[in-house]
Amino acid sequence: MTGNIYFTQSDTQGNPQNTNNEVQSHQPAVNNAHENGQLTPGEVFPTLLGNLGNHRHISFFNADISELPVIVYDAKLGFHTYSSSSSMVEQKLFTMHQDAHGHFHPPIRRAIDNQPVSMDMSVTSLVVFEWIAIVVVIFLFGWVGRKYKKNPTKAPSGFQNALESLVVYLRDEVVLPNVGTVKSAKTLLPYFIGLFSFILLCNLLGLVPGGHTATGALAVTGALAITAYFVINITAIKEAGIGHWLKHLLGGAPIWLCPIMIPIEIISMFVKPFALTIRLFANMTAGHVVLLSLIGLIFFFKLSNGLGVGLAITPISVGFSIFMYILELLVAFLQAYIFTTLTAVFVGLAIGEHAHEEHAH
Amino acid sequence: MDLGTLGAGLGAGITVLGAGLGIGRLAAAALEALARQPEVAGDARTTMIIAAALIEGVALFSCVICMLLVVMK
Amino acid sequence: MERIMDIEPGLMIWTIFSFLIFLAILVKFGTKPLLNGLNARENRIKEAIENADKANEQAQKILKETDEKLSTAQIEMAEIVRKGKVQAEELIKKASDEADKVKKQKVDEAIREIERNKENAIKQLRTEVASLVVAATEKILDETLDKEKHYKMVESYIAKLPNN
Repeated sequence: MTGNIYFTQSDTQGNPQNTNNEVQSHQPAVNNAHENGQLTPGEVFPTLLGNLGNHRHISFFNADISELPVIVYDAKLGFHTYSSSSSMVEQKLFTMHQDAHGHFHPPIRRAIDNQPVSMDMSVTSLVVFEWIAIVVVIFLFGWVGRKYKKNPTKAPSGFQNALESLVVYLRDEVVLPNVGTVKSAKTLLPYFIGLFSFILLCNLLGLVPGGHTATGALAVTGALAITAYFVINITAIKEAGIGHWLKHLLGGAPIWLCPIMIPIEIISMFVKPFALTIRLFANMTAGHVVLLSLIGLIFFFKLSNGLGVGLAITPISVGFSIFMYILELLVAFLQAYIFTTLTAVFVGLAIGEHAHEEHAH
Repeated sequence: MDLGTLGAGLGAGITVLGAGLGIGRLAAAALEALARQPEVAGDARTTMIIAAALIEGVALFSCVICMLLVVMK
Repeated sequence: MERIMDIEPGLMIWTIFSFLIFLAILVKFGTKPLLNGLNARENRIKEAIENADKANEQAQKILKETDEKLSTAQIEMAEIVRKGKVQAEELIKKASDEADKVKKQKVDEAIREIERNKENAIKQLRTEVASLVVAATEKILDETLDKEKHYKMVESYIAKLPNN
């Protein structure tokens, strides 16, 4: 990714001999920059885009706030927890790569044989941002929920209105029409509300200046898709019974087609959550990459062509990035909506056959 | 500069071409449907967004493959 | 940045774990009271509308009943008036008939009285005339035959005379 963007930029610069080193890793580049006190033009994009992804520390723009705790399980060395990456390295049981800024980069390795550990369960920056999103959502819902507990039949007021219209929209436009049966729709409604608000908050936190997008990591969207996968199939089995669910694997084709149909249906069962994963991840990441690249153009031109060109490019760059920012705001809502709607549609598809049969009886 | 990166860039460009054509046709069809029957606006919008998301999903698959070509070489 | 395509199992496990706990807390404190409140309010509004519909129906029914009562009362009233008129007419007819009868009786009686008086008068007149004739004849004849004989003679003449 780095290489890609880096390459295209440096290619226009006609500076290929420098880039070949950079492509391997941006670590040496950062080291150089630190020594010189200034970035070379080629290092602008890797440095900016380094903000994306997962980190072992919390930062606000360039200011590091704190390192995050490390939880490591290794088959040989057992289970270890440390309050921070640096304290882990000080204990000399595990090692971790540290760059010139003092930031740590996985993988964590055993100090004795320099092999990666079995499981790295550290709390990382994206986990923290997930928690922030969770706390915000729970605070908002809890606040409104208390209002309802106190006075359930009173007309809503203030923020309650907004949240209620969201819930009613999800219920009437997303869950009820797409999930096949009313019973499972009612059971799954809290899950869909939680899913939508979690994704939306994660997306929006990524748009707050200095924030990180938790949904811009494959692990996070993959985890959401795995829960969606279980929700889809458990609901289908519960609604239609295991027999119908297995029959559904045939996809309605005659029995002699099963050698073809069953692999296809099984693949489609796994492709759906996979598509959800990739869609959310790519949408959130692509927007940020474009946004950061547009901002990066200013510094790139300043460093390569001088201050005047940098200043000249600024209005164009800022204008485009504002446009991208607004587009990202739309995408944040749209992707949360699409993830939720598609999950609901897949639930409906999975139990659809049963609903038809019920209709026929 | 190696050919893998070039292939990834070209692949991303061609993907965007296909996805753009697909979503464009979809939007055109949806608009026609809306012009004919304005009363189905809500349904048409939802279906259009879902279909667009599916097309976009396929396009993103290939973009991710392009990304993998660059990152995992 | 090279790590953007990585799938970190640690992050994945944390996400699933956090998301499930998040859902549990959300259901407990957020969506449950919210959805319950929403349902309660929807039910209340539905009930209120149903009640209003019911009340409206009842009101319509009562209005209809009242209308019916009013119209039957009017019909009854008209009937009563009609009957009264008929009775009154009958009464008037009876009364006039009675009056006619009484009048006729009175007139008949009066006619009979007159008749009787006339006869009496005629009788008296005859006697008078007879005595007058006798006296006149006595004077004319200057003679006193047998008074009784004359009288009888005159009476027989008179009887021979046509009545009146």
